[in-house]
Amino acid sequence: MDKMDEPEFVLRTKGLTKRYKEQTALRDVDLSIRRGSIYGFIGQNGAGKSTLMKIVAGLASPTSGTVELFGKSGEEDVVRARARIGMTIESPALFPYMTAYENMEVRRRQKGIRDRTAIDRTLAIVGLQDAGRKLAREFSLGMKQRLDLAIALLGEPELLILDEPTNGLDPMSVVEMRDLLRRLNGESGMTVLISSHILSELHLLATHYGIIHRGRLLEQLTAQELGDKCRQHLHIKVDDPVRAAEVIARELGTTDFEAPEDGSIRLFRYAEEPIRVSSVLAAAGLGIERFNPTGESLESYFVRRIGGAAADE
Amino acid sequence: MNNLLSAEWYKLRKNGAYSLICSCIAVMSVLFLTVSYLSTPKIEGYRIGHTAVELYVNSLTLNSFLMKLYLGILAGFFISAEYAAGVLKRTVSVGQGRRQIYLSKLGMFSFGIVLASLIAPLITAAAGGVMSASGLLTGLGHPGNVPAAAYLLRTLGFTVLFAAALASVAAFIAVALADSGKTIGVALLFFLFIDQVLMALAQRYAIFEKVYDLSPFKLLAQTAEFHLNGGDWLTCLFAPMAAIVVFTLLGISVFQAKEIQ
Repeated sequence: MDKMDEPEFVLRTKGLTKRYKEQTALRDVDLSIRRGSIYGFIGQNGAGKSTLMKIVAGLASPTSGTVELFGKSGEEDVVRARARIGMTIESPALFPYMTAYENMEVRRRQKGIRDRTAIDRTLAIVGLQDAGRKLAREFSLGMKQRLDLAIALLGEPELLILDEPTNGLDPMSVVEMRDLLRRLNGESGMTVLISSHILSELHLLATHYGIIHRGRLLEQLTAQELGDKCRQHLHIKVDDPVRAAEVIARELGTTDFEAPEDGSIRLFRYAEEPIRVSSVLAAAGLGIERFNPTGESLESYFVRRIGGAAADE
Repeated sequence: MNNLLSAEWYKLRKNGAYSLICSCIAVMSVLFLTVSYLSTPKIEGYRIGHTAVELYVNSLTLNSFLMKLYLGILAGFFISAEYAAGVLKRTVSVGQGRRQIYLSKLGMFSFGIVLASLIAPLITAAAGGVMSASGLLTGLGHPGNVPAAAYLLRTLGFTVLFAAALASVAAFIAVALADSGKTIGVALLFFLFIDQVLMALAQRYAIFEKVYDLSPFKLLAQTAEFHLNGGDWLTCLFAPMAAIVVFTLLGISVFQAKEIQ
């Protein structure tokens, strides 16, 4: 299939629900991952991240709902489409009695990759070019993680699913992992679905985000949208927001603000000069009900979002 | 499917437990031959008693006992261990259906068991031939009125068929329990005592008498008999085949329903 004919979304779920005996792990999840994106999947332990990844990878079946992979949604088609994904889910999946090379060889055979040199090339990508003859059981956790990633990368998958890939890695390895994922995404357009507890890490990597809480997908947003939401700004509530917008544009010479429907104004410029802004508004005779500088990190946004969801339940 | 079989074959070759099992069977066979030879009386410098055929028949009994031991061990290390190591997760997401994945795994597991099951009979047959030719045994011997070569081929053929049947049972246990320790324990108990259990049930309930008569566990011993009539032949052919079909279908249904952790 020509690249131009490829569907825009590599993965879409519709109404995905997974129930265990007494627990609902996923509730009606509609998730969409755009081709070429790095999708950061955020949620607490037990929020449903791994369950969703397992269903996509074919390790578990949904109670209801559908999975569409690379535009295919029929059961048999989805099974076949899984040949185009690579994944590391939870702990590294290795044969401890085999060397790194032999672990890769098993995957090469499973995927029917004819080119044996692909193994050495992929080991080199993750920095294990000199460890191919070493038994996997003798690897440190960080090396196991890297080998696990190398196996997932074998055959250049179009979608890479990584569940907590930086767990147990030292800070240097975390940076290397981030650079590697960014490079793979940039050079080959590989789409990445990644979950991590380290939100600051995701913040440096992801182009899209999905926030899941207690099995519900609360929100999906782009890095740009998240950036806007988290951006430092002045949150202003006045008695006449339309006139306030005119005053800001005229007196402060900026249109870098938003006027949401709740009657407030989010002014992104002059966030460091609140006194100047309040003076301008007061001079125009506007009644100021609320005026506070605000802005948050991904962590605080996530906490607030989850807190809001918990309050709604 | 070919890709999966190729990967399973590679895994079998690299599996240390399998190499150890094969080595142990070979060592046990040589020990068995040595002990059998040395235990016969010696008269005027010549050991008398055993023929090559007798040694071979005895090796079949030893072989069926060994098979009951290593079936569970290999099922534990080759199939169930993949759950614990997590590698099954990756296999399942390779782009093939669960049925194909199970069949490839069962196919290569059965192939491994079949190869292992042939070690003892082949070593004994070869050694028996050499020993009788060099005068260490009291001749080749006669399996009743059946030609020795035909008897050898028949018993080897049945060994292959019954090994595959028992392998399908062991694979089912491995997939159902999904834990190597449990698989080894349960399979050992099952294969070692299923004869006695079925026999006890057969004595109390008539229906189990038929089940026992047709079970591969009982028929395996029968295949070593010198003379088999037409009915025995058919039973010995179809009972293991039926076991293969039933336990393969059971294994597929369990594997398809199972969530891979």
